[in-house]
Amino acid sequence: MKKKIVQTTLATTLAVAMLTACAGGNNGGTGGNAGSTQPGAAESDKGGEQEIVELDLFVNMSWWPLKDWSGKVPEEITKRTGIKLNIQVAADDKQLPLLIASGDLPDLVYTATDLTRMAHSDVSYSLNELIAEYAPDFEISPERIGVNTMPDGNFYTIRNAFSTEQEWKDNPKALPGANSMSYRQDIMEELGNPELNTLDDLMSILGQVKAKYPDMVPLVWDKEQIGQHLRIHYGLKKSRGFVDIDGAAQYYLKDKNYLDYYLYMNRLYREGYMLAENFTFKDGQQDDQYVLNGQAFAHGSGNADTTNAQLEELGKPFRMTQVAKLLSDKAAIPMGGSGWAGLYITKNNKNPEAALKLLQFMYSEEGQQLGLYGIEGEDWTWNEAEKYPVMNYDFNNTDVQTQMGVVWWGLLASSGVNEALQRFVPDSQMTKWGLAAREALVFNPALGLVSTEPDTEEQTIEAQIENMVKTEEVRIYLAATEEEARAQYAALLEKAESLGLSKLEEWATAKYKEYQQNF
Amino acid sequence: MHRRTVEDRVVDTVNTGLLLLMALVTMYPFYYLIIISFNNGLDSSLGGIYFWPRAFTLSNYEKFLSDPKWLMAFGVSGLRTVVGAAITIFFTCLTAYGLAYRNLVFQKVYFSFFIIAMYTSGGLIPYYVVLRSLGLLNTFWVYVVPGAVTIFFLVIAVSFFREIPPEMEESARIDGASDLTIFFRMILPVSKPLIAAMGLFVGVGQWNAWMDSAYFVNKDGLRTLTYRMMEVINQGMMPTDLATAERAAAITGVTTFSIQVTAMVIAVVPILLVYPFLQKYFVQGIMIGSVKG
Amino acid sequence: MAELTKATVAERAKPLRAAKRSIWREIVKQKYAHLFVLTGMLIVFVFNYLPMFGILMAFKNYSITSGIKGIFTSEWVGLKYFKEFVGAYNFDLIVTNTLAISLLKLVFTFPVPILLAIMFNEVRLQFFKRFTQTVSYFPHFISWIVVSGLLVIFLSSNSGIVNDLLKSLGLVDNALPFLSSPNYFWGLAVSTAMWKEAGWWAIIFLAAISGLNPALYDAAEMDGAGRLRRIWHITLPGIRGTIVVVLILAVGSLLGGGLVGSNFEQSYLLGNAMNNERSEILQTYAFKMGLAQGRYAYATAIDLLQSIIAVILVFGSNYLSKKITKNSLF
Repeated sequence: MKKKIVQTTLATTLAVAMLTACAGGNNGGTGGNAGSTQPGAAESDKGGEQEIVELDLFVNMSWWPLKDWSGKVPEEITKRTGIKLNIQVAADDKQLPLLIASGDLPDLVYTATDLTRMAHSDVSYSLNELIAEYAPDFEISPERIGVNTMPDGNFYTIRNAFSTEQEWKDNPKALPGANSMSYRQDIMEELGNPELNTLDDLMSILGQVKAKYPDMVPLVWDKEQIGQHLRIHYGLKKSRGFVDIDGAAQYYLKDKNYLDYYLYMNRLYREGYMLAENFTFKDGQQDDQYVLNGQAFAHGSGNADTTNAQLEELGKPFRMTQVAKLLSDKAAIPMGGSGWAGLYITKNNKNPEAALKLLQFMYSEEGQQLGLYGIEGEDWTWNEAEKYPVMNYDFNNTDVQTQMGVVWWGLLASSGVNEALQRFVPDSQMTKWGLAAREALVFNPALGLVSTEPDTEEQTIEAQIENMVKTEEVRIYLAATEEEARAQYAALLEKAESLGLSKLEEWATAKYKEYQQNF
Repeated sequence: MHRRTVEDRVVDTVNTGLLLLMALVTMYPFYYLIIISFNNGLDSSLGGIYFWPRAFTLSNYEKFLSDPKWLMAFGVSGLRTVVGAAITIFFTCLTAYGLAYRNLVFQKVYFSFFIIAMYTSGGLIPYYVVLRSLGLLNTFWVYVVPGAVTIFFLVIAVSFFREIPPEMEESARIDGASDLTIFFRMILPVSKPLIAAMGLFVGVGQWNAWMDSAYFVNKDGLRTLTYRMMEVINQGMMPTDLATAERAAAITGVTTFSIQVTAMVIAVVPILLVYPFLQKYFVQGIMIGSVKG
Repeated sequence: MAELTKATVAERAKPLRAAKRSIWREIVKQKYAHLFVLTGMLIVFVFNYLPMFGILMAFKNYSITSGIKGIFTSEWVGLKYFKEFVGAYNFDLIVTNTLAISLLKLVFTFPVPILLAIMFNEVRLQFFKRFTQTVSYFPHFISWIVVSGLLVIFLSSNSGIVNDLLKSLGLVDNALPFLSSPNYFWGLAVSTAMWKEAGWWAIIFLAAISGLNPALYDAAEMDGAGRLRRIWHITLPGIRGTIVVVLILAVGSLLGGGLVGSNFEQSYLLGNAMNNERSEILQTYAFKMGLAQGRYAYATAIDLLQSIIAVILVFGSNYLSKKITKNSLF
């Protein structure tokens, strides 16, 4: 018995030793703990022979498709900048705060959340200081500096997906990714192709569908985006933010059109055009199931191009058509946020100069186009007449994206317009919708900047109200009568007041006025 | 030797009937998931599959097993399961034996110490800092050392050890055995069912653990199987508003649900293969058998 | 009046000193036992108690950008987070749901593993016994995420198998809103928990039963006891120690503080805006307001609250158990 124990222990120790050795050899060198990356000795612009600088990048999106720095696009980026990245993708959303709190952040962080936390002098380098020291020629548009500037006067990143109103105007083929709706073409034809120009038209069509096909669900929504398409037609914000009412910043729910939107949705429910169970969907594919099975007529958030390809694969006889026009004159898509995600150069960075050069490159038109579209000539060409890039490959296919390393790295510092231009595919249904939606863009950058900071009282109030709204809003949607829906809406606002809404609005208005001075 | 009475027959019939029902209820969903893992994801999303894959495919599995890093991850998971279970069983039982000692002085104090630890935690951030200061981060040991004493089984083991008849220990002590010898030569062998149960629970816990592989380790070669699976699962979960706003979702035959299900099947198969070896310990009289022998 | 001579005092002190000496002698006699326990305590101390400095966060205005130092240097805010938690607009509802679900689980789900273990033990055919026992814990390996997906497939009002079956059998006119109506949630939570974990927990009890002496059963049979009586008088009392221990530990997690079952995942995954008034529990609310917002101090405060309650419950039920059944943890 003893001998067996000794033998087993020996074997196990051997295995563990081998494993640790192997693991050491496979060292990806990411994170603040592994130390075997090359020192950033090279100054990348000095003459022909560049030493490759290796930096660790933490991507805080667990769903990020590109797991490593491979593919022809990353290789090209390395060729042009002399920088190679070791990628670590977050496992979940707790990892970044852990790294921040423990001080073990890697060289670079790319994140869409915890933005204010990253933009802190204890955590990251401020870009204005780095630029002054290493790259005084790095020019950034003043609006971008403006939307990224923190209360301490510095800016720590340049968030992507942002473009000014002028930039949107200058690029007529830049399509916003607005929530869409698709419907069954064949059924529409069977109904005699009725007009679909207004929201009332939509309501009546759904009624006709219900009458003629009682087993069908007239309208099914994606679980995260219930009602979102309609919000566009009413010009409303979703789930957070503020609206300008007589110069003051008020909670988005107080928008003058919000009640109408709720009443419309409530009517959809009462008439049986949408299911109560829609609110219980947990899986992103439950709505797709209805559509692919042919059980639904209209699909909120539906993308006809994608769905049709799936329908083809499944051998179904029907196809979807996209709603490609604005169904009301109140339609508006509020723009004015400060962007989506940002690349931060953390205080642990071993080579801030190189990191800054990388950012400078990815921010330049050359870098953006390389990262988003690919290699010019090979993967895409610029259509000068219509002013948009023509992709030579299936840029929406994740497998292709992963293999080439394209599209996603472009987002490190790209502008909203450049990202939007890629969406333009002439004659696709989504493009038609995108072009229509474009007309609804409204800009209020000062208002878009008003956003609560973590660990503040306003944020707590906002979070409590949001949490409450998520639950209580359903009562409005599912009210039994129109009067009840109105009453529930009023009750919702009342509950929000009791949670401190006026305090929040006071703070927001003050901030709004402050930001207005910058524009 | 046993005569089958009427009561015997009734009890057996009811017992068998209920167990069959239970087996159906637990087995069918599992079987269903296995079928789904072999079915084209897009086709699965249509629903309506009950007994057999409708659109058979191995693409779900390919998504996982095509990555060469998988073999390494498999090895890491296997090793941590064995080593972790062994370490935990040893230290937990050792401590439990001490705690189960009759008339142990300060027993209440000791127990309170463990109980409070069981329900209290300082949170992820301080835990990480402790691991860092001990130099455990980014090593294999971070998987198996912190869990060396699992308090739940500590308590269970104590209650098991208390059941061991004192006469056995007495006679061994009279023969001159020390506490340590008694522990190894007598207590452990006699507690085979306990150790089997502990081995199973702790082993499965080790096998399924992925969070420590995510937070405390970043060497490629130290990632566990379940961590790799989470990577694949996460990639399928792009937020829908983002997908619409930024990029249209890719069209493949693999969907989130199928991926999660396939991951589950892959993780479970090794456990099911190992379990029959443990099962033989859950037979009555095993303890008596060892003592007599 | 007795004179307090030196001799008398010495006499009276003797038992005390003797008691002290005898405790020390006991410890020496038990030295290995204490050593073993101290080994375990060292490990638990390092990995469980050392990190507890993080609990300070619960009383401070902590922001993660201040790093680890910040846990010690941030300003005190006293009970601010606790007050905020208790001030939730639906706090009563949350507490009711938490207690109801935990208690229902305790009552309905706790006996099932014991019953199962006994049932497995009573099976004569080895193959059948091993088969059913193995199959019984399959659900344990199905993650809650997959389970919630399964539940939709089976219980959906629109195309769910169960509803289709009920309708075709004529038992109901309209599909039952299992997933959306609040009234079904508690039942759903309890039954899915039972289905998922009963087979797994049965293993522990099965191990306990395996330790029982078969000779006892033979003797009882000789005395004329039937199967059921043997179960009642031998099997159950035989594993009473294990039952009590697991019960006490389960009671500890009544209000969260998670040992038995994962109330959090069920409520988080099966709960939705429609059944919220029955599905929101302390843990989900704490999560939504705490970690989901990155508010670590808040989350720590709520965890602390749950820990304190759990410890009180465990000590309390241990005491009660000692009084009532003479069996206890310690």
